[in-house]
Amino acid sequence: MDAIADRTADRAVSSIFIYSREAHPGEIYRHHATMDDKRHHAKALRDVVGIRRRILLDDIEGTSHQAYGTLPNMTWIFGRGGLILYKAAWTDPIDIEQSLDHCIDGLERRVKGDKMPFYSERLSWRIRDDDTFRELLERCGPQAVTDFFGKRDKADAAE
Amino acid sequence: MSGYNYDVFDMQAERPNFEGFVGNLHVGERAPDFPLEDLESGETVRLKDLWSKGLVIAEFGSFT
Repeated sequence: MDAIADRTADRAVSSIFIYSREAHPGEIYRHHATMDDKRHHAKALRDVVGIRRRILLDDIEGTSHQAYGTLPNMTWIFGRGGLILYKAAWTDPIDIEQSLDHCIDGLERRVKGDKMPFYSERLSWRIRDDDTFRELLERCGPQAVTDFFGKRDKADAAE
Repeated sequence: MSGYNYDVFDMQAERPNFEGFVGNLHVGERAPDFPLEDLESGETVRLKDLWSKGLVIAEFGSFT
């Protein structure tokens, strides 16, 4: 996502990361009790993961996060004036960059008068990578691994 | 404090959130504006101030 931000910065595109709640709290990175907790974890995201985009913190009750759907890693693209151009339940850089290019092209050609918008929905697909996700959860603490993989494995076994 | 900042992840509790995501705030509608805190400067930033200048890509997430 940082690479997309770099490639589109000269096209009047602002890329931001809105820090919400801990989706998989564990013994090392617990849930937020205060805004200082949230700031501390956001700095860890910046420093450990290496996010270079502007990080903006939601409030402690997740007012913005809840208004936009409360999902752990969604991405939205807004046009001028806050027009919603794209919403995705999960952040997939390939899908986002394709959609962004599509939006920019459509907006530019609409000005010229040779394109007009229409509403559409579709189901997108992303790569499933359990190994990387497990490593991410291990970074949070053993509880985070058990809460996700333990319960999911039980659910799979019951089906 | 509400249960927003839960201390244990519950997969079943996430399902209504997905339905809410799909059912609200559609493409073509105006997005709601909120104040956010810039991690580096501590200043308050409003979403509307960002989208008044051009397109905005907003990823929501956390360390975990």
